[in-house]
Amino acid sequence: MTDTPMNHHEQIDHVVETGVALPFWTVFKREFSAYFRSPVAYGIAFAVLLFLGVLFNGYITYANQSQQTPADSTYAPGLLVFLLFLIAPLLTMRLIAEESREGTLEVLMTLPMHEGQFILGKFLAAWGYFTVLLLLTVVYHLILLTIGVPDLGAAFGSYLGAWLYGGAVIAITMIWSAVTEDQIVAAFLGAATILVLYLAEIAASWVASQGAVGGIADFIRELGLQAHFGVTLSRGILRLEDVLYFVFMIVAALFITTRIVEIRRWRA
Amino acid sequence: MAKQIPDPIKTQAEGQEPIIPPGLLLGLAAVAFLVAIFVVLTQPEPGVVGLGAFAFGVLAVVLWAILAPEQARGALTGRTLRFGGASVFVTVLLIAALVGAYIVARNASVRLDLTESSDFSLTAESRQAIAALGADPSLPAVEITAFYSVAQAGRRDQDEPLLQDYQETSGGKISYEFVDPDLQPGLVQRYSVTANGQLVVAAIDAATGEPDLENAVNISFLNQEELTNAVLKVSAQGEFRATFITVAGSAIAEMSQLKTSLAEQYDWDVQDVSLLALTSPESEIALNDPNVDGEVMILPGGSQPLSDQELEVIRGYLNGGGNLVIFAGTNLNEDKVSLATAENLNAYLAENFGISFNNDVILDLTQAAQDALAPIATDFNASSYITTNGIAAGQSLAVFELAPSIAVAETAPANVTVTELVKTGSSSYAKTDLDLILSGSGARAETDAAGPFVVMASAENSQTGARVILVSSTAIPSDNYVLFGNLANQYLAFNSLVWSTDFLDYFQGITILQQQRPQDQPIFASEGQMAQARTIVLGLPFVVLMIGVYVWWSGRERAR
Amino acid sequence: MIEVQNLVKKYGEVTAVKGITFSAEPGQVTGFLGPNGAGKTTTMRILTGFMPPTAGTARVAGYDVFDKSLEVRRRVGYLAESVPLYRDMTARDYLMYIGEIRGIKRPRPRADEVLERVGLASRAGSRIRTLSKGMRQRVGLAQALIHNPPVLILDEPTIGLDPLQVLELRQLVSDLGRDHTVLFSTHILSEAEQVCDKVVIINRGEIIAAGNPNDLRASLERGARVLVRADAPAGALRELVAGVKGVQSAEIGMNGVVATPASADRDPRSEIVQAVVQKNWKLTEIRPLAINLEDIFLEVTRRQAQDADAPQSAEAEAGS
Repeated sequence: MTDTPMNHHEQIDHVVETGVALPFWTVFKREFSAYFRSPVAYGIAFAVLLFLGVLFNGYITYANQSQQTPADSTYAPGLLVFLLFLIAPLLTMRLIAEESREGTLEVLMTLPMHEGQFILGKFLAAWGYFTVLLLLTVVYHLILLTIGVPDLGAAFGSYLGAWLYGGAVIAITMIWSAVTEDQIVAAFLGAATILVLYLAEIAASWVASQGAVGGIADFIRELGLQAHFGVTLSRGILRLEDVLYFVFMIVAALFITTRIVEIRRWRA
Repeated sequence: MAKQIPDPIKTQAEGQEPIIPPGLLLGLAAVAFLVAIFVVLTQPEPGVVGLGAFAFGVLAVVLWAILAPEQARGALTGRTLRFGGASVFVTVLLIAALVGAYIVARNASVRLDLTESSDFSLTAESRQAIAALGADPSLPAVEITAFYSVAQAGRRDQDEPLLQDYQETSGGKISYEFVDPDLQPGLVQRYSVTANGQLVVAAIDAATGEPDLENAVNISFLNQEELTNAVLKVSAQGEFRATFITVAGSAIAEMSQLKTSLAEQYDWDVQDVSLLALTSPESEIALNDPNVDGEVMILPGGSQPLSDQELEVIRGYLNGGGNLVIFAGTNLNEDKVSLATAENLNAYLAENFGISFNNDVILDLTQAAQDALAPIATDFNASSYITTNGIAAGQSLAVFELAPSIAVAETAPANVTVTELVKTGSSSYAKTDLDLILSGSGARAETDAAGPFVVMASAENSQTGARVILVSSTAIPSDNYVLFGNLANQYLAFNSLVWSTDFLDYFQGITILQQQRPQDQPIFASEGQMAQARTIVLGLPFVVLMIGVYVWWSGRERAR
Repeated sequence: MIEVQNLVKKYGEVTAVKGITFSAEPGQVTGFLGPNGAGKTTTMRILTGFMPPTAGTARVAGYDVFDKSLEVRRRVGYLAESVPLYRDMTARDYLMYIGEIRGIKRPRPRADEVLERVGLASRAGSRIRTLSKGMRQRVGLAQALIHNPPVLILDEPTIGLDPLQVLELRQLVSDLGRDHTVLFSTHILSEAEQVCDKVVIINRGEIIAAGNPNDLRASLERGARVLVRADAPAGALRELVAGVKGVQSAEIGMNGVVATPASADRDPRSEIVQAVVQKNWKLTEIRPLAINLEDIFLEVTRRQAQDADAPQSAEAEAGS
């Protein structure tokens, strides 16, 4: 505060023009660009693409030698979807936990913006980052196009599915970021939740093998993520309920996150 | 100086304290709704528990509204909406609404097959056949029952769109149902399912509404080609008829095996009738019936020659495109003549079909079953269906017991194609002096004709469509020699009937063959392509990493 | 502009604010005084719509902070106590971010304008993490000013600043007070005295005094002890002062003679001056001993404690 003294002019106090605010869009822009300014996001992209690349390379090498493996356009999206249990918590752990710990949440929550807008902006940013990552994996499909005949419809289905799947997973892991200020705890709980939802299909078979009654096994299975992607969307079957499952997961998770942020701040 | 407020900690809700805490009621309502959702999700029908829980939940909410009107108004106007307990309640309500919408959407079964190759829809061939099935009111409805356990729920989801397409394309004539074999062991037994994941395709009997499980087709793994064929097969109502003619001394008993398999496995109409009964006006069986998909008349031997009247029946039948299979019975009887070797029949056959029985008996001293009178034939026509279906070339044998030889005309009558089907070995010989054989001296004589002899032959008149098959022995349809390995006898008999009625073609005609999809083409990459792919795939992450390092570095610079 | 009525905030079993009532007018700086943990921040958070009150009402610019939270937020600029900022953003980007969320049409020129106002124009492009504590405080203030709100709520804005920065900031707040409603919290009482047109003193969630600082001083100066210094022997001066009408007693203190008035509502200063002048002594100093808000605060708290010893003391203790 030594260089410039504060100005005491009054010219600042004119009426400031305001228009229709789209706070979620502003929050989205900031958070989205923050991902591309953060080395962490590049680190995640590097690790994911390297992992996918090595496996994909192995897959096409094997397929080329065996001479009887048709091109499978769901290979990369399927793998990416599996990795989401690691990616999503890393993307979302800081989103709310950091704001909460740094106190910036207090400023944001005194702005004329509903919590939902703030949560939505944050979510869209993380989903946007995932979308970019997913688009990068289209390169695997392009390679398959040059060396085989992948089914374009099935590819579209599996990329669409992976995109929705990612949205749902990101929304769910965001809940934990709102619950705890500790990013590590948020990431750990997020990963555990997603892994459980990923493995629900296996749990369902186990429950069924234990002689459970009625549709409990089916219920568990349909609660899980894979039942709506692995056998249907990723193979090119577009079912209304699968799309709704992911959309509803996003809606419910964002709603819960908003509620938690609200309650936490009111009991601060 | 401000005066302090004496008792500031009095909120509106606590103004009048009801007997039951309203918060508890909300909690109960939430629990009740959760129970209701759970029941709806897990049980086929809501039942008493589900409806009861729902009613209880509604009641609790109403009671809460009455007991705590302030809170209820607040909940509606948004003041308490966001507070703790109410917040949980609102969240539960939202989730319940979403679950409800999901269930509605799931039951609506909105599906779209995105694949280019329409993996989960009917192919053009299947679609045409299934649509035709749906449009034909004479064909029965078909049900497909898939026995998928919970572990196969994924396959269920995957197969459902295709089954749905069957249902829609057939206009509802084909229905499908998923059955959890673990939950319905009774059905598993009834449908003779041996493993999870099997599908049973059965026609539904129009009269009883019950599936015709006897003729059901079991598919162990859903495959469109197989399923379409199974559907066509069970719905196909081919009517086939085999008429066995009873005459004096006929070998009807030898035919029982053949009759059983025709009637039970292939659903044929099988009847024993005398030739003259066929001609009477009261006869239930009309020969050359146009409503029948295939019919064949079988003469299972016989010791007496046919009367002229009887022969007239046969002549009329064959002229009308009938099919006739004659198994020759033995002529080693008192008058040394049988139905098959009688003059009148053979003259007719030779003249019209170019084949006839000789009145002799084939013997073989070296290649015979029990004695020389049961010669073994191993020379099968390699191109006829009759001598190839189920019969391994070079390995199978047939025993022709007490068989007369068959004479094949050098030039067949007009429009007739003659095929020699089975011949005896070169060590066989035929005796025309039946007395000698009857007296027990069957040794080979100079005058005996030398083998090989034709013992089975077919003739087809392309103009009338009539088919005649002569078989030299009634032992052919019997199981007399089953102790021999690779015995072709029964196959020869059965194949004769199938060929004569075109029974096989009937099924081949409704079989759909799927075409190969371009997507099935395997991956093939040249060395160069592989290297290129490898570079892109493994280079991409490092490009991203480098961008990251650059961004991080330039960010650091700016911070200073 | 700010009207608070019986405001209560409970955190579980703990009651942080126990039904306070006060108001703040436009064109004034209202000081919100109290020691740490008095309930200042809680009250301010309620006023900014950050948290809801447990009971009572608070209206800002005519809108209820609960029912019309967004309307309130639109009209309030808030500087939180810890000055939370995004450390990885530049000052300008941060202000544009806040401005955009607030729906300002042209956030960039406005951000530059506000930075100019708080004297940070030269560091507009610097990342916030590279700025000094004082500069961050100014960024926070700029954030509160970005939409030119009619109401400014500043939670301990001078905490942690060096003396020069404190002076500048106080000047800025005084300026802003001319055409804004400013609610300004501090636990440094001299600061409130210097800047505020009105003070509200809060302790343990209760308002213990409120009013114009001068009125407060006047009311407390009456009955306060008086320090007298003159060019005279200390003993003689003590005797003289002790004999003045309205003075109960006088002792020799460190800097001079301290006189205790006869009753709490008497100010014996004019009589003392008269007596000294009559003796032809040169009067060098005469002032009440309790003249700053620290003393007022201590005094009021002391009196409150005395009241608490009275019959209802048990009840009062239980409430805290």
